[in-house]
Amino acid sequence: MKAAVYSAADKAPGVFLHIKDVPRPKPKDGHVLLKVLACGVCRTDLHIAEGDLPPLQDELIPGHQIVGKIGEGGTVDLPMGTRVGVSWMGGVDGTCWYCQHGMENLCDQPTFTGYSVNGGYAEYVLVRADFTYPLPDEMDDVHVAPLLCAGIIGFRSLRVAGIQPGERVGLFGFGSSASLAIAILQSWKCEVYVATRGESHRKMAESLGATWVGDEDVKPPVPLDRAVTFAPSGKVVLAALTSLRKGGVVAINAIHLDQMPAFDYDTLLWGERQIRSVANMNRQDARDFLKLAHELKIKPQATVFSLDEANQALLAVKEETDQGSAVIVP
Amino acid sequence: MSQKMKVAVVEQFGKPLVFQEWDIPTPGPGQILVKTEACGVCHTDVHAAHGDWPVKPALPFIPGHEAIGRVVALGTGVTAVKEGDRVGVPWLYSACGHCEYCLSAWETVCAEAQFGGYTKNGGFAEYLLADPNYVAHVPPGLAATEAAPLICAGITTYKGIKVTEAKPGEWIAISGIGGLGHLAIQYAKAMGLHVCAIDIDDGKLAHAKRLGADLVINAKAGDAAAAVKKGTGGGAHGVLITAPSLAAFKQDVSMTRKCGTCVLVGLPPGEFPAPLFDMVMNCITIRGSLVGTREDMAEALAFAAESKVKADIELQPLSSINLILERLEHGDVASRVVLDFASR
Repeated sequence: MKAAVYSAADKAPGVFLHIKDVPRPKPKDGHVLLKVLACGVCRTDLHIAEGDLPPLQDELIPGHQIVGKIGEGGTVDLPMGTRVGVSWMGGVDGTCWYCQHGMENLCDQPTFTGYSVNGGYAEYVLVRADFTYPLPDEMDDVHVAPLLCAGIIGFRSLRVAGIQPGERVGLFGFGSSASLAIAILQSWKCEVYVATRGESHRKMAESLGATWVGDEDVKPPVPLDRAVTFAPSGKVVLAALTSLRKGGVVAINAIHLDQMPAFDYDTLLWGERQIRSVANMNRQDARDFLKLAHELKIKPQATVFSLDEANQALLAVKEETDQGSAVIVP
Repeated sequence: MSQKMKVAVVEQFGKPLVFQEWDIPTPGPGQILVKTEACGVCHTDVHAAHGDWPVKPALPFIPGHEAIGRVVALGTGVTAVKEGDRVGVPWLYSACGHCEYCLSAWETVCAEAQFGGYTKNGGFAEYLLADPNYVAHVPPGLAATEAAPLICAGITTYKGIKVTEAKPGEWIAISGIGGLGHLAIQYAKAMGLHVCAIDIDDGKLAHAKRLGADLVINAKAGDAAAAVKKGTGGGAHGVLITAPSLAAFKQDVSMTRKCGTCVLVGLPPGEFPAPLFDMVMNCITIRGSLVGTREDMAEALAFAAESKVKADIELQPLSSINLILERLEHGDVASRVVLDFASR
């Protein structure tokens, strides 16, 4: 089958992935083989392709926002032909301290789709059956793919931030994930304050009905109850922290930050403000978010790339050239 | 000064209220005088006038705990409000401010709490005294007659929904679509919840639909708990029982989702047997909820100021109070009756 492959040893300048023929994965107990219909491109894929995240194997097929059709390994619950989604969490051990405490997102031996195992930048992918989510017919392949990580983890960020209905919530950075989160916040009747760099991102926030939109370094006009940061930048975390009321919470939706600058505890954190990180997602987050997205008819903007154009897709994410999300359709 | 005011007084429990002229009270230190513009009539007023509850008010007293009016005089030391402010004088008339409950934002269960229209004279009068630290602040743009039912019926349902801990996108079942239930539907929708309304009256259920209920179930048509479980995919995450019926209590506990919470705000006389098997097997919480705190009050009124919640009201003059109480006793009030002091 055709796949876009990252090679730790073979890195040419400007080329993230090599398009080549690889063996189709063999069916395995507890797994289903999916024919990939679409795979969203996430910033994490870029972190992997650029080596920001340490490689876990010599060769890897990235991609963890997979929409696919079950081709082999179907069961009574998941019959052949079922269209399912797959996200970043591709499996957990189910027995560690975290799994037994309702925190499978922090599992000691997790499987990360498109990172610790091969992902969806390919014609076929083998995934654990109990980490797939059947998709309603109304959600089409290309537009549901970006929901599978950006959407789910964005949703989890709102949960980690502890957002209550009606609160004032800041979104710092306004890419794919934030543009999905805003719809959820609106359904929770929250006031949404968006601080982001880039005129196009600000325009998008305005068009999606944000209460207030400003530049990344402009303080929102009122103290915020909660904030979520989406940019991989420690400075943005500080900007979010500066905007909080006493007792407020900032949740960091990023798997990688450039660095946290030193900051003044007395003025920024004292007053029982809190900084929380968001790590991965659990299956209930995925189910709850996909159900909500279906009800709210959340439909992200998407730009389609072929598998041969996987490098262009990653470049588009890196340079933020497209509004909305890049999606690979093999 | 011969400053007099018209009042409706309970002189004897179980007897009609008596209309009298009293001296307008003078606010003492830390008190304010409020000129009544409107006062809602609550079923609790019937219980108060009948002396139904274990702790009875001292006779004679003026009922009414949904009073809205303007501040017209301040006692010494008052800074929390100023003359001309529109305030509400609610059931939670005052609290001590320093016990363990007051310090943890549960002033509603303060042992020293005073109750409007019960241990303190209430709003069935042209003027009343109030504690400026515990009055509701009515947002501009909200009419007195519209605000009145919200400071008891509104806040009670709003707080009840909050303590179910149902989150946006989850299901809440609201049992009883009367004076409380019709507000509960609106609050729940405004809070982003999916709403299942349950009643035994098709007319009320049609109204529930108009107010935004996603699912309506007539409890007379069969097993309501089973219908809720089917319609919500396993039961409601939160259940709010406003129906003053013990039969409803039992049925409504059974429609609670596993690990869900069923909240009681109604006070029908008597006790109901808890369905222990269901409760234990499904880890269901049953909890009571009493009105709400000052923060809850501000939030409950803010929803109305943003036009997300509006009470169905019937305006009546103070002179009709005995007839209204009689109608409440017989379940003959479709919405919330509000005494309108502008019409005389």
